[in-house]
Amino acid sequence: MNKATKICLYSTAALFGSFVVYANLEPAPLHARAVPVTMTILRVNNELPQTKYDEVRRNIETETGVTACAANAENKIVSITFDPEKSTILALQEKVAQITKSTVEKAVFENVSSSGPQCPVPQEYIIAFERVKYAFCFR
Amino acid sequence: MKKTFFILTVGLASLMMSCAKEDTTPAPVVQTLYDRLGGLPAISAVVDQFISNVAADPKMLRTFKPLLEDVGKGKTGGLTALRNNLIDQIGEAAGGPLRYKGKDMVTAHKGMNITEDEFGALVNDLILSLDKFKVPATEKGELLGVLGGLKGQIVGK
Repeated sequence: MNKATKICLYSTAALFGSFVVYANLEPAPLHARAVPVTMTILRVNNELPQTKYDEVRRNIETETGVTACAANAENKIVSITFDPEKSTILALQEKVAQITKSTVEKAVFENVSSSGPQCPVPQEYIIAFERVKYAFCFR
Repeated sequence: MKKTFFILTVGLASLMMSCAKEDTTPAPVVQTLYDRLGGLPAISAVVDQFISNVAADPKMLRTFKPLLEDVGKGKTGGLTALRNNLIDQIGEAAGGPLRYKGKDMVTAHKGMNITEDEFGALVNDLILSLDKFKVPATEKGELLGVLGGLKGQIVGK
């Protein structure tokens, strides 16, 4: 083993060791122990009564992997939180379309004005880093 | 003299033992709101339903627009962060074992100009979620009391 390889190896080991120590400085928060979920928000393209949306909600809630669903006739929205390992957006979209007998697409909210602080770092990066950190947290 | 000393020692020892016995009597176990709600599975279920309610509520559109817009583009990081913070915060407020480490409420809502109506709609979405899981009135009242206490730090910031 040459000197450069040794330096790389020891540096990597030291960095990994430091990361494990950092991950264990404090216990993982409560959310790290919860089942991770994702969300999809769908818009139904037909005018339907609230009773139909209630039917959609009841049916979607029984789907595998779905943890919650809400449906509102006022803005034609069906929002679903689900375990991404057990279901997919496409499958849920098809199910909603089947129940409503209507075309269903992902909702877009671009015409609404809003203000407030926005983190410059994409949340996906922060969450991915957190997941690795808590994977090495043994407290 | 020796006899008196012996009697005093034995008397003192029995007194101490009886005191010690009293100390070991188990105190009545007071369950925290966290335990009474059902712990993490119940809290995460309530939070998931709450987030779904918020996403489908037209009154919440302005407040949560950046998050909802990202979900529409397939980026759910912001929403996941919101869910994580809600689980941690409700968990801590209910007396759970772990601490909320997110931003304080004033910092988190700075510049959002949340109105009384929007806050009211948010509370209503939480009530719908608690009702769905048939959370008893006492626990529901305690949890809403915690949220109500934060109103001053959220509205109009």
